[in-house]
Amino acid sequence: MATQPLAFSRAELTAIVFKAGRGAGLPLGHAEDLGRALGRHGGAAAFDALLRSLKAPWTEIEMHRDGTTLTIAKARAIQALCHVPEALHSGVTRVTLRDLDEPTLIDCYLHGTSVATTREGADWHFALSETASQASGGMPRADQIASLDEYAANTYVPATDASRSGAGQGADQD
Amino acid sequence: MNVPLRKPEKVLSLGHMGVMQPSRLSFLRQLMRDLARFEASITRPVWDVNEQGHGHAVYTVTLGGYAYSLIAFSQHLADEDRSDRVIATAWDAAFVLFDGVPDDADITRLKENVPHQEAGRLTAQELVLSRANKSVRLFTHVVEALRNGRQPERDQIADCGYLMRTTAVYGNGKFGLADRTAYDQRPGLSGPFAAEMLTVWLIRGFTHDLAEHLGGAEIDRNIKRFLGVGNATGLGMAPFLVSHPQLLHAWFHARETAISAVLSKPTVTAGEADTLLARGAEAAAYLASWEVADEDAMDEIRDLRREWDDFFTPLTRDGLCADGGLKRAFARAQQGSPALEELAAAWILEPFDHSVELSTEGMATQLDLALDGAMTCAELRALIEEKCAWALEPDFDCKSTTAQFWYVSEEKLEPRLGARHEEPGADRESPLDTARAMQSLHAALPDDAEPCFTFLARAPEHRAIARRIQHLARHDYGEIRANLIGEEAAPIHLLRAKLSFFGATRFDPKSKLWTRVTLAQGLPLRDEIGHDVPWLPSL
Repeated sequence: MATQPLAFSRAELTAIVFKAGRGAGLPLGHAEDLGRALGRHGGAAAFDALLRSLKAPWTEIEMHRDGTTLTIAKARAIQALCHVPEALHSGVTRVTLRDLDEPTLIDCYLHGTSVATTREGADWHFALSETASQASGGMPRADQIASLDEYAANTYVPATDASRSGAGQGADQD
Repeated sequence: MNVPLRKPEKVLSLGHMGVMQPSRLSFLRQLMRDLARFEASITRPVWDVNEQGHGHAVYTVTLGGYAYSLIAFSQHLADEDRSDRVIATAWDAAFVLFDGVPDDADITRLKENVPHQEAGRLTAQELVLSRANKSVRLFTHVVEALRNGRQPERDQIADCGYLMRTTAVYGNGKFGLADRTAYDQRPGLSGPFAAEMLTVWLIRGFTHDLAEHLGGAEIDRNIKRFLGVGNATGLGMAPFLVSHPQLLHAWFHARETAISAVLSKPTVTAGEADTLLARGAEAAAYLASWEVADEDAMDEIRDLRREWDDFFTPLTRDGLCADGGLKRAFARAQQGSPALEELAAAWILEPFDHSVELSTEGMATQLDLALDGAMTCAELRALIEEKCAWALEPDFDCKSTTAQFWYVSEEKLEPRLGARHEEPGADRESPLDTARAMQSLHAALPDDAEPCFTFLARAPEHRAIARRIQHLARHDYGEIRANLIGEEAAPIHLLRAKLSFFGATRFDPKSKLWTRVTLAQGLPLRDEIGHDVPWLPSL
């Protein structure tokens, strides 16, 4: 059952999302991008989209370049959106994400970039613009954070006795 | 003629990072300058502490048009519960730096959360969370001496140097605290870790007040000034320098820029030479009083005492004031050990306010690393060969080169170091294997004109390191020049470098994993803002 929004710091959310991304198996760079995008700009709707997205397996992206246009087929938001501004600053004039799974995440990833978005059926088109995109922000809910914590736990390792050796002290060394 | 900056391959090697000393650029020193510049004032509006020393106190600082309050909670702690380990759940005292002046409701809320530290919950009204344990031996001695109408023994004060030691100082959004971006434009809090340093300096004042409260008399001012705040620092701090390449560059670049600016001065004035000689003598006294239990560390301190004596004794005012005198002196220090060079590098900054002030601007950068997707694979490959040659040398098929792995512990969510070939968990390792990742990308990159973003879309495992390498192209000091998963890599070197930037003194390594240090030792007391600040204090 959904609960009320919580007050988290943005640094805290960035760390939680990053760890969850790593725990869900995302490559490091994509987890970093995800942490910045959702942690800084995501609200409850974006976190719902994120949690749906993390369930899908990581598969190689299908990217096709034809002159100055770039198309990514069967686009997963958390894989593809980070490439949009990079492509548009690399000689590509239009990027199309075909069958984008979670459009709610677009604003988070493109926040602060000068990229315009248009929709055509199941395709989303992106081009450089003169105005910076803005995400609507908001806060996630406690249940969403709990779900992300479960993913993050996949990155933790039980500490061994050896790792504790020489790591600190008690009162005896006062 | 401008003297070139020292090369990152030298200053970011573990051999140099592991022997760094605090300097005028250190954050506690920056804080002291800012407190004076903005004419900060400190009051203690609340002192609700009983005869056992338990209760709470509030210290309010007015700084740059804002008020901040340290709220200190002191409680009973059984000896058997006193631990500096991060796994501890109770402490002698807990602290929070509050944005503004707290009312009764704030105090009630904070009293329910701050003593529980990680298990509590803070809000955007709070900036920093910390806790500390008494050095029971010295705290008891000081209180008993005061009760008996005496001052504490100077030998005991010099031997320990603090009444309490912090075991964590959290900021930037941890546990619900305010994001740093909420206050990083404010006067006096814009520098790196400024809010954390302010907290530590205020905690030091609380430890003095608590001992005087229980002892029923004042501590001699010279002794009190020498009493800093101890700190036990372990692995938790080490990965920061790797995960923040922008800050690593900003800090080291600022320091090297200041050193270069000072060495580029054609002459030194008589007043500047006198300051150099006075600070050099201060360093000698500090080295003479710096004692640690670890035999290897003590041998290194003894060597440094001898080296500093050989280096410093021949220096004269006339020699330093002669054309190129300081530059020649520093060149002589560079012929010695890395420890001597780093001590001299900090020493030469002492008289030169202007060069230091200019250099500290930008030390708190928050820029994100961005990927230049248009860079071709061939260009990225060439960049690795040019900037990351040190990372291409290790043979990562060799067991010793990959002997260690960093991870986050399940029990406390804290960084740990494991033995890769003997312990489980390497499949979940934290990304501190920068050199290995650079080498791996170099091996995978085609030597062609394909834009790197399409390559990275096919090979997303290299995305993070590609971004770091591109950052390094423009920020030479952004990477530690070492293989941090090799058997020789000791976290203590990273701790020393970071703590030096904080302004810590009296490094007292307890193993390759953790060290004791003292913070704020010798700094002005809260009614001495604007007074002289020592570089390396001794009693």
